[in-house]
Amino acid sequence: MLDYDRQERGDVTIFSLKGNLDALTAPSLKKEIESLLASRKINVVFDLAGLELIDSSGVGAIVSLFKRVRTLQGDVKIARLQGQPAEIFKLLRLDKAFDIFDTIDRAVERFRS
Amino acid sequence: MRELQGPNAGAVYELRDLCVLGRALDCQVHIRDLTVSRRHARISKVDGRYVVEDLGSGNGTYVNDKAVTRHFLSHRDVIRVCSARFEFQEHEQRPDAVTYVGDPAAMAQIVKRVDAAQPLFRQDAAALTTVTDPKAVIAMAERLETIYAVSEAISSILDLDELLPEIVNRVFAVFPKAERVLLMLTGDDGHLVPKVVKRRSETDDAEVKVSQTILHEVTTQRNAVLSHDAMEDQRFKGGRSVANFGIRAMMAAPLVWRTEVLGVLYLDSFGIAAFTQADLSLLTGIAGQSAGAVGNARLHEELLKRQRLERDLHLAERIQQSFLPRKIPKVRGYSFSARYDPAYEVGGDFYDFIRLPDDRLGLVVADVSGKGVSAALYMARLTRDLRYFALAESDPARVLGWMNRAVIEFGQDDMFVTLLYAVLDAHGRRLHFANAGHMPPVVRRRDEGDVLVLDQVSGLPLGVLPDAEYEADSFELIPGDSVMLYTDGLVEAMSPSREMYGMARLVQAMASGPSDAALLLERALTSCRDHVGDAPQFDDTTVVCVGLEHPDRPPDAAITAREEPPRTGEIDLNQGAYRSRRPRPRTRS
Repeated sequence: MLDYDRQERGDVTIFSLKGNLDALTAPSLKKEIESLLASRKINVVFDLAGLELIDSSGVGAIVSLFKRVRTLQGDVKIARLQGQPAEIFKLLRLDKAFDIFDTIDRAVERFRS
Repeated sequence: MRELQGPNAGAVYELRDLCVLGRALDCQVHIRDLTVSRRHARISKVDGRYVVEDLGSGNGTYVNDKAVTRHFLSHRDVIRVCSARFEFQEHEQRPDAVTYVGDPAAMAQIVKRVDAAQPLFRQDAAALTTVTDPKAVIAMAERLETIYAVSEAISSILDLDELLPEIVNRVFAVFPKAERVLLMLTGDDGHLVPKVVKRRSETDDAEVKVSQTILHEVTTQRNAVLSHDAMEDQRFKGGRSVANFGIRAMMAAPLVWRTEVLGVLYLDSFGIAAFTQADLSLLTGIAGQSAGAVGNARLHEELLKRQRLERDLHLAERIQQSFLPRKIPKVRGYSFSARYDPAYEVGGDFYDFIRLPDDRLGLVVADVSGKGVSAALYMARLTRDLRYFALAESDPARVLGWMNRAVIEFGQDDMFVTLLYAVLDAHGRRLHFANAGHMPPVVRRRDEGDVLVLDQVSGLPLGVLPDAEYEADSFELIPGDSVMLYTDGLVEAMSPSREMYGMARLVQAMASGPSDAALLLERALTSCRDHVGDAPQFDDTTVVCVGLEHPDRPPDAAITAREEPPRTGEIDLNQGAYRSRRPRPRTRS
């Protein structure tokens, strides 16, 4: 199961994910991402404090959004990475591609600077 | 967009924010025609309007028979790509032009309700025999006849893309006063998704605003409702309808099928008096028939999808088996072993051995995100690319840099690849390697008895960042040493109590293991299997092992010619990769 909450703060969209982001739930996140891109929202923060599990399809969904917003001069930041997802990010060296922050505020702040 | 002429004539494509037309299988509009370029043209949305662009195709893209490079589309424009012609339909298919508005109760006033479970038309049918007023009888009979006609027209359509517009067309015809008809379906997440909008007026391009209060009542109470709605509407600002300024009538009915609300039919019009109680009853009946048709079409679609999935998995398995190496290389002084254990689904692991000049041997272990045919086909392509690059460039880090760009250029956004590429210099007894987000190699030093995890150099997985850079590392092999390359399926294998096998156990198994590659590999897999027991596994496991033989003898490192792996004869996707002649390295500009 995956629950997500979408919030707008200025021109930054914050996705708070809760539960598992895997082959079963990634398609619904992808749909959400499509609607995000359709409305030209290109600055995204993923708040992963509530994310319990991520697999390669889940990483794929985030990477896909990352690649697409970057071609539109936007970016994806990660906030409150912890637990198994943090292990996966480390294993895949994704910390080299994503800026990772302890709090949502800091992640949002980075878009302003 | 509807395909008027071409391999899929009659097909209706829903345009999203980006849609590529071409011969490549992954195009949203796939056109099976050799004169069509792989990525021929694309349709994207710019400021709320659709624009078609030619992607440098061989034979050009035409709109209304004029060649275009970039063209804003209008309703009923005909796009031609070689022999295929498509009609762009803006008015009938603008599911995005809908907003749900939360409204104060005073704004949307529900004036009539019909319980969709007990609609009036059912009562009509029962009453027909007792009512004596001929006018009432005729009205009832007509209503039933209309519902029957709609039912007959839609009940045999099994394709949702065809069915939904047809339902809307029918409703449009039945209610001549309806200005706009909207069909929404309940999505996987329980939200209503607008599917088809049809408008009476050609010039009407205002957003359809639907009251959430009403939708809530329709979907939760399963009532069909007739409402007068005083929401501000930009269409009235031009004073087009002064008498009814700002007032609309609308009807909405749920599509109830079995116990589920599959969607909502919504229509609106100008003026309070546009719809009557009888209309509401009629709509309820049509919505009921539509629900049955949509439910059937969905079942049919699911069945097709399941069949396709099964076929896909079977095909993927055959593709994958066809390009994994069948033979283990032979190099004097070394032992090699490799194992690929698929999980119950075909996954994205692969490994390869690449013969290189100067007594070198390339070793590859990789994991492609995603499963099924597309991942399997993609692996076939990756092995081919990697073979070209490996022959052209000896530095593993630069090979990964090229591979990364190849994956990026492939353009599948959600696909990425973790890959470990190592080059064994058999004569110099060194292993050079570079890592793209993959599990680190593990070396067992026989003489010192330690096990080293070589995780100092690792870069991003392939396909994440266009300018990702990789670093190479190397280490000397001492006789008796063994190296293990593997995918995450090995260390992440779960025990029945959901505990991972983990690096620590792997290191332990290797520390006490034999140095022969095949024996060591078997040791690691047995140790993992013991941990896992009979817990179901969801990920493939791939392990490649290299051992430098002991006791020391002068390494005569001539790599003996590897036998060409047998082909399956059925699938020949990576022809060339297995040719014994050396492929010419691809030069990149």
